[in-house]
Amino acid sequence: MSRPITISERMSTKLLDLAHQSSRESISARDEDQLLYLLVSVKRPQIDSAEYLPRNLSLIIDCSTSMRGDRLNSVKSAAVAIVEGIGPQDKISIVPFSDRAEVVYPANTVQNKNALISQISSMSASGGTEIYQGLEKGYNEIRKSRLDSYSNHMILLTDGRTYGDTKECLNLANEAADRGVDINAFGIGADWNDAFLDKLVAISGSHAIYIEKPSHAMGHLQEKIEGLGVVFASNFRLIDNFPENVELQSVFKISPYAQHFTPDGLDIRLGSLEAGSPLAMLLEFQLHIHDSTESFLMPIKMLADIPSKRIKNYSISVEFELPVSDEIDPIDPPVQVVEAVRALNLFRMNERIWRDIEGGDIPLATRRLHQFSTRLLEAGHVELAEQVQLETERLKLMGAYSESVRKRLKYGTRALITQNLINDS
Amino acid sequence: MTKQLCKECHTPYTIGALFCDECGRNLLADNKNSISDGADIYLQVKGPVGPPAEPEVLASNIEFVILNSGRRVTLPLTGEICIGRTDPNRDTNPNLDLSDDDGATLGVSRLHACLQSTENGVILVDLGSTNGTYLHEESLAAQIPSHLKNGDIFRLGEMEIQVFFEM
Repeated sequence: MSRPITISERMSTKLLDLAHQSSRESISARDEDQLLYLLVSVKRPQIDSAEYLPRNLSLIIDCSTSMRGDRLNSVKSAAVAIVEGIGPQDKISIVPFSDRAEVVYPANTVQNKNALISQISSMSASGGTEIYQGLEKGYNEIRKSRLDSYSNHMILLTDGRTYGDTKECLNLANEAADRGVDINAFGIGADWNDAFLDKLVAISGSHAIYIEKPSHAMGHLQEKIEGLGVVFASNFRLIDNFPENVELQSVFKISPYAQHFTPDGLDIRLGSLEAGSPLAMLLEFQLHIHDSTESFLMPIKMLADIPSKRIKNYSISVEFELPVSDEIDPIDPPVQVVEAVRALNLFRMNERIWRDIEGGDIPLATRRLHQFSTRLLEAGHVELAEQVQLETERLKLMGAYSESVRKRLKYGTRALITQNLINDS
Repeated sequence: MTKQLCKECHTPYTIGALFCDECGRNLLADNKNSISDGADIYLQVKGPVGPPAEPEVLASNIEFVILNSGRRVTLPLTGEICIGRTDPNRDTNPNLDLSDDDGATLGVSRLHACLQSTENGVILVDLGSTNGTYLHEESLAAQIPSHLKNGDIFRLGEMEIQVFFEM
């Protein structure tokens, strides 16, 4: 599409910039429901390195028996690299866990890096996996500091499933999110419970990363920790309080990473704004506009904390109006909106395929995989399309998927489908 | 209430949708710059993939020529014609039974494919067969209808069948 991009309204605030683009320029009054997409992005107008708070990190490391060997060695190497890279103001705590947890390095700045590195190196693997044990101790360490003076993050590394404590984990994640502490999860290998970890991290608007091979752990972790060092605003919440004739159906975060939220009437936690990449999301609304005399006003409101300014609940809001008429409205959305909706669509197709496979409907999953591969090709993701095609053939023959393939495609797709959008937004 | 349909998979979609929820088709390409009120894509004319069939296909009978065995079978074109292999143990009784044409060896499933007469022509649908259904040497996705023309040859696994429509 060559149509010039118009940002229908732009609101500059002192601290944050909010821009939005709509999929439609007008709404028609119809008996049936209609969809409207809004692409919303928040940026910091000017970036000043003095605006960032030091980090308060807790590394919560699964040391259960299954981590023995390459997995634990790779995680240890990544932890050592993090220790070597943290600044003099940053705090760190190290919490290995299995079916119990201990604090091998309580939350503190690092005066003697060598001593800490040797402590990390001496960690060994044994026992089962109870993630709550690790999260609880890690959270306690984080809370030993004044939370408003730091950028606070728990980093969970696990290769397993947790047993009998998922509810406690989710409760803790909720409490932590309320205090501005997020949980970032890294799943190593093929056995971890992705549905649970996705849920756990979504509470604070963070995300789970799949590490297929232990040797990849180092790169992923370092990248994540670097991002956490440049958080300007955190605890972003989209206020789910729209007019009666508007229903928020879906929130798809596309930057700094892909994440899907299904609204449940509560405010949606969107995570943090990191330097360098905006916080961008696609909102999908179902509209019930039956009367052409109705004026259509859409208020978008977000709250965020800006720790370096000691501001809680900083409000960013915008209200925009679309004309309502009896005419059939032309749809010619800006290209960024089309691409974001395409990404949401690919994301949904991908999720639906895994539900089909989990439900045992292999013929349906095979058909959808075939369509999915075509759509990926249309979107220019040639390599992923070929991989999906290959896996489709394998699924046809074998009638089942391996866990590692499932996770590779699930997380690979999530990352890839938003890659271009992140660069452009 | 009528809804517009995706031109590829015929799933209804909501006004303002940009991509088909079911098959992912870009709907903007279909309705270039406008939401059409086009009655031709409303629910009641749910039709198959591919170009519309020729008017001649309003046939009353269909003749199947099983090219591997040379056998010819004529069936009335009313309702659905199911093609496969009879298996009393599983209670499968297709209208066109290919057991005697060496169907099992040639890779024909018990319920392999079906033909149906619609107001837009005759359609062929693969029923999720093990060895696939091919039309013009292209594999058909399961449950997605394709148009059949008079004289077309389709393949079930390794078995080739030609169809002729009779008025």
